[in-house]
Amino acid sequence: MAHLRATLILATWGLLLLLGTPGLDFLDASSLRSPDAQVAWRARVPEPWAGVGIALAQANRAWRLPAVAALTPLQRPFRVSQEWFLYRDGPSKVRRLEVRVDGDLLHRSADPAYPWLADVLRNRRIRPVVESTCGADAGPNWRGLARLVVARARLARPDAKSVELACTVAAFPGTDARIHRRYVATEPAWDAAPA
Amino acid sequence: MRTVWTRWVAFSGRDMDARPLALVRILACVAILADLLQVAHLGLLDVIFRPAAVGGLSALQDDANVLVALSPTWGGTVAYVVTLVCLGLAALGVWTRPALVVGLLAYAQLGHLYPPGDRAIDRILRTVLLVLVASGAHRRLALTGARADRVPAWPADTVRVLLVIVYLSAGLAKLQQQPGWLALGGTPVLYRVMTDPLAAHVDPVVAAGWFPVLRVLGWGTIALELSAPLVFTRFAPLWAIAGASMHLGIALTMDLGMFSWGMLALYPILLARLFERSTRR
Repeated sequence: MAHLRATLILATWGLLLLLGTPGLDFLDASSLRSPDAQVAWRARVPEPWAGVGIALAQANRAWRLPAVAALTPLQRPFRVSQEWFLYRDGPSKVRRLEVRVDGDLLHRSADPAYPWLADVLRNRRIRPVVESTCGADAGPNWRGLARLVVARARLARPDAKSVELACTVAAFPGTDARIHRRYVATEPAWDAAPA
Repeated sequence: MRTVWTRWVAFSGRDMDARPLALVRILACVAILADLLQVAHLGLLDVIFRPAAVGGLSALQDDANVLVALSPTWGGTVAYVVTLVCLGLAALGVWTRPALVVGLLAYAQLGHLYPPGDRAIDRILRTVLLVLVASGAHRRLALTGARADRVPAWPADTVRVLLVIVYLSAGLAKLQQQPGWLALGGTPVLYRVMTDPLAAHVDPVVAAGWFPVLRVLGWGTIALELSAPLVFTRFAPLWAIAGASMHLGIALTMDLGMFSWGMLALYPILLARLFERSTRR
């Protein structure tokens, strides 16, 4: 029994390590695959580390990724995929969401002067949608976000006639922001559309 | 080889104080419950846990979304209530093992239904609680069931392995994508992380004067994450203090919801030696 338990624990640890191998879980099948990518890598990293990196990427492609793909169905019922490359980098630009109702600025991201709906828009489950809406390429969920903001705006101001979501972008520290994307919803339909 | 295996059998078969595992069970469940209750408090249940086609926010769902396939309107609410009830029972230590299994399946359904909001911390806590299903975490600090002061240690070791993988991956991925984390000059990466208005609330203009401090904190972050294997040594409590400081810093400067609290919920395992010492006294 002790040997069986020891074997099973070893297998479990091996599985965890295989699925989330530190340093490899960040790489996909195309990482360091093309000759151009390998030349660029060798220009950045000295030998022998460059060669080690290319060999690891190849092993990842040939062995680890197929094993992960085969094991993925087992992880899905509990949604426990093991990829842990968290908070790799900060944003390259300062992006903010602004909400205007009838032209009045009510919300601006991380601006205590315009806090309306901040608790909702900064909730950890909503924030990724705000980020994707205001990112370089708007994600598909901007319609749902706009619908939520319009509904809350109409609750707060029943006589409102228009609601605008504007995404601003600026170089750090963010003092010269410009609007790079706008969505506007107006009565009576209140369907938000890019403006 | 035989000696190595014999040592491994002895190591994997040893026991430990039951309290750290019980505390992780309670704290992890409480972190998830608080997070889910906040969704209801903000009136976001129908927004988050319904597909866009029936008035929700997310246009995309994972195809493992069984409950919503059965009822797009009510599937999310059912999964939400089942998660709350089951993880509440698991926190209290009532029918802990079945409650954890059913609760984690329902919690996973919420993630399948709303992928944008199912983050790494959700997967970490689900993985840990799944390990706890097979542990003696229900034998202490529980309202029902037989009490035990000592339980097998391998589940705690498995959580340590997971923590090492998580922190090492985070540290290595940071360096792979952005070597600037270790740079001696330029804009510190941590400045951009901590002043991102969409995720944090530190004023980027004010923080522009903190570059030296932020650079050192960035180095500290990498050092902490890459030194995660220390959790298997006697230095684990010291490492835990540094890790807790990092997570408290994140909680103070960023709006990441339960991330810091969820991670800290796992830290009693890193303090297991202190529990052992208190028992010996």
